[in-house]
Amino acid sequence: MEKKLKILITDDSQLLRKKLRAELEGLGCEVIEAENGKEAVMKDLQEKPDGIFLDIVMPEVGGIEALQVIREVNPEIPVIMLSSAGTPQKLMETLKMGALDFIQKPYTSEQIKKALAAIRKKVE
Amino acid sequence: MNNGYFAQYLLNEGQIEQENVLGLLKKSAECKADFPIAALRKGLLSAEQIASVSENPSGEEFLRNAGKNGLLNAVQMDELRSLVPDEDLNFAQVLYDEKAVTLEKLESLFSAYDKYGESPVREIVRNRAVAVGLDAEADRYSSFAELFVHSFKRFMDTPVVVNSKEVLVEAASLSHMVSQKLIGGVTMVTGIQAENGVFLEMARRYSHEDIKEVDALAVDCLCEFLNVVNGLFAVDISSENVEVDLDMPRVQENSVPEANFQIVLAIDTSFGEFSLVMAGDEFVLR
Repeated sequence: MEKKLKILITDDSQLLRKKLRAELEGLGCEVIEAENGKEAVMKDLQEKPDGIFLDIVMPEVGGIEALQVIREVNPEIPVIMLSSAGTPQKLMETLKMGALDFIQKPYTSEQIKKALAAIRKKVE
Repeated sequence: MNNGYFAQYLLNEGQIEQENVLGLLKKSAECKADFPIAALRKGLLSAEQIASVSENPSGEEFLRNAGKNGLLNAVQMDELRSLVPDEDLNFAQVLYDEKAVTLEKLESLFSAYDKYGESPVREIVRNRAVAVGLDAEADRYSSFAELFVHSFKRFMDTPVVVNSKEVLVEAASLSHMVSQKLIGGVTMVTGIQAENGVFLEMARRYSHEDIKEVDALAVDCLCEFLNVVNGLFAVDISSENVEVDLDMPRVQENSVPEANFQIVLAIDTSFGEFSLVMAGDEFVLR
């Protein structure tokens, strides 16, 4: 039997979190949420998720800064960037920093499934 | 060839009046084009041939008569039956039903529309920008408006027309405005301003949630929509080696946008009108 993945969604948009939670729970995941980069770092330490979906444009601490800290404290955790700001430069920057993948908003169910499969592969 | 911009084309060309656009869009959203208009649009029949089928032809009866007269074969009839009318067809049907155009007129309009090389949205926005002295911003603003309209149609499931009329929004009216700044190779602020009823309907359509009032979720929906469109625009202009970052969206109630290099466009949809704002600096003050 497959392990139930614990996924951290980090996005300041309530709508995005609600929709992505439904999507991930439908795929059998346990979901926790953070509204900004600072909360994401804390929840990464406290809740020890198996993977993270991380937005870039967020208040207080943005996604790029959060990714940097998360990679320092937990270098193995798979992080999927999920952002509207998917320019080639941002994509290269975040992949270089160790993000597993980059999904440009608006996402499709297929992209989420694929990302989840990549997280599972990394975890197992 | 343009698809989905027939109403915009007609407005740009002065074939429909700016004050009638909203009403026509509302009707077109509830209308399903019939076979004769579809046959005309697809070039299967001319206006003259359609008129020869019967005086007031519609539905299966029209197809049967056209078949009997040897004007349509079985394959063409099936093609028309399986066609899902798009917004261009539905808008044309409304114009015909309203007796605003004859079949002959519609035939010539379709033909001119198909030959129209320019994007009708870009054209109207560029002209509006130049008319208010924003020559240097005209190309950027018209590119953004085109992407915005395309995304709005996609996510809000409505026909959309950029109206040529002046926008007069009362500061005291109950409204919401959201904005987001793009910073970097280009500095530009984009935003949406709408009276609360239209703002709420946009939030409902974008989220597919049953939102009852303009609350935090409704505001979040419109901020997220704007964020997504601006993100797509950032990706588009990155192909010109222009890199931008997106700032946090902002929101303000009951106010009018005032900024430098600003253009406010009236956007008509099937559920009401709102303003699309583009400016050189921030117009939502927190």
